[in-house]
Amino acid sequence: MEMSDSTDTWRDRLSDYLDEALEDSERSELEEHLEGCEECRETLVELRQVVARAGSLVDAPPARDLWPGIAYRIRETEEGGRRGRSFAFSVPQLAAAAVTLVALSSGIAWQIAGGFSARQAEPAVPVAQAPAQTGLLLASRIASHDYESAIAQIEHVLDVGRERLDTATVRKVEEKLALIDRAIDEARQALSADPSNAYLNRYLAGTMRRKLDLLRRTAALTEL
Amino acid sequence: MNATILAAALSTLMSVPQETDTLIAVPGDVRITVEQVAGDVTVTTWSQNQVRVLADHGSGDTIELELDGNELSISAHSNTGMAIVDFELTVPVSAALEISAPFADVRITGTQGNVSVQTVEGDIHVEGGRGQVDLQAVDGDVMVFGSEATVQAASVDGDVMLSDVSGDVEAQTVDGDVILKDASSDNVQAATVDGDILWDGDIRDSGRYSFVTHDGDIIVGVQPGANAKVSVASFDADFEIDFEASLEPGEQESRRFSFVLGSGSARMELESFDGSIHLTRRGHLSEE
Repeated sequence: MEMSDSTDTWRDRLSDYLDEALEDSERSELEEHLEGCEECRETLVELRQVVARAGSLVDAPPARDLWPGIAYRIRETEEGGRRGRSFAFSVPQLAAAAVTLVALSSGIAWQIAGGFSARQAEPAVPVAQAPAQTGLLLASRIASHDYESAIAQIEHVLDVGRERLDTATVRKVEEKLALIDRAIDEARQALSADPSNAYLNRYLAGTMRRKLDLLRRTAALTEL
Repeated sequence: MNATILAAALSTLMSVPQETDTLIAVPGDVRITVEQVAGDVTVTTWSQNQVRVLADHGSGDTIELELDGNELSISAHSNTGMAIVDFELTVPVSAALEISAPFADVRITGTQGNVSVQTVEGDIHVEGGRGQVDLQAVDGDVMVFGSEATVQAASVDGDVMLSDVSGDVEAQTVDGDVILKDASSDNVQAATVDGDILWDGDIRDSGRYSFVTHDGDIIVGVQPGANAKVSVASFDADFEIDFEASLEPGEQESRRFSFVLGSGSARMELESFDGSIHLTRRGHLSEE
């Protein structure tokens, strides 16, 4: 079932809807549209999940080496005069945001930070000390950057711990990572041709998450 | 209580094969951790509150058992290099097991406690299990049979096979198949990148089933009378269904569609980026 133009139009307004930023008449129209559009309902559920995950971040300590970048972005945002709880995800951003939040909230970054602790000059700063509105804002602004950052950090942990793993194991993991990278590339190519395809967005997010998970598990193996 | 037993501490220049057989009394709710580098680990259960440790090892290896409260740790050490030890453990049926064995095949039979196993190179085979069963391998197959536990089973290069399981399941691999046979779980998530997913189980009312592969096929056996809303999505996959279902004309062309079986109580999501998706009747899967 192809999505109609009206679906595209309304889906782009879903984040505003969640943010209660729509006019009353628009909100009513959107709610009416939601009743008959499963695609938009599913996207709304996914957005709400991202919101929920973002909310859960307050209890998790951040990766110390991520904090300077996060703090910089918070300052940048505040200096820009932006106030209040507001966010704006496009559907393509959702993929990276969801993956990043999964990575952060599942403690991956924190586990990794333990490996870096001896080299870090900055003290750990609890997220709770960050402005309350930053969860979603950060998610939307740093999602892509932090996904790459999380990947880079775990890869660094692997480089450090590589000597503790059998060379055949390292080779095998690298082969399988290449397999996932190929899947990610194929999903990205498909998405570039059809950016509004909810399945492809979700699929790309899932595949990126699988790469993070594989890296995380492999990094953990260096401790066995 | 803190007791350490050095079951074998012979140090000789020659590494002579040696067997150590030790029996230790433990609480019924004992949590057993096993750490060894290489060799095989076989675990069976009995009704006694005792752990028997039978170890085949070199004479330069030391088997260490340490009991602290309800925590029993079993480890192997070597003064001549890597300890290569085959463990045969007999443990209380409700014991919780945590096994880290980078280069080992691990086989556990009959346990009713939580199980956690990590291997780098080796297969993991678990029969039974209640509570939580968490199995991870890098280069090896992961197999679970007859378990009521919540199962998390993951491999990187290997198949994940689960049979006769009834708890929630999360099964994933990168390069391998995920096979779920005679399953009666309410929640199942199965994913692979380069491999097939086969489901031959009961789709339960209100259940949630998600099968995702990138470059493989999804084959689903559906029992008569199943109630599920099935959502199919793909980028370039073929879809085939062997029985009557009310697909609207033209829907398949979009490669994203759904249809309802019976009351549609359960939710099943089938996603193959570049493979095929095939729904057939249970019992017709032997040829697949």
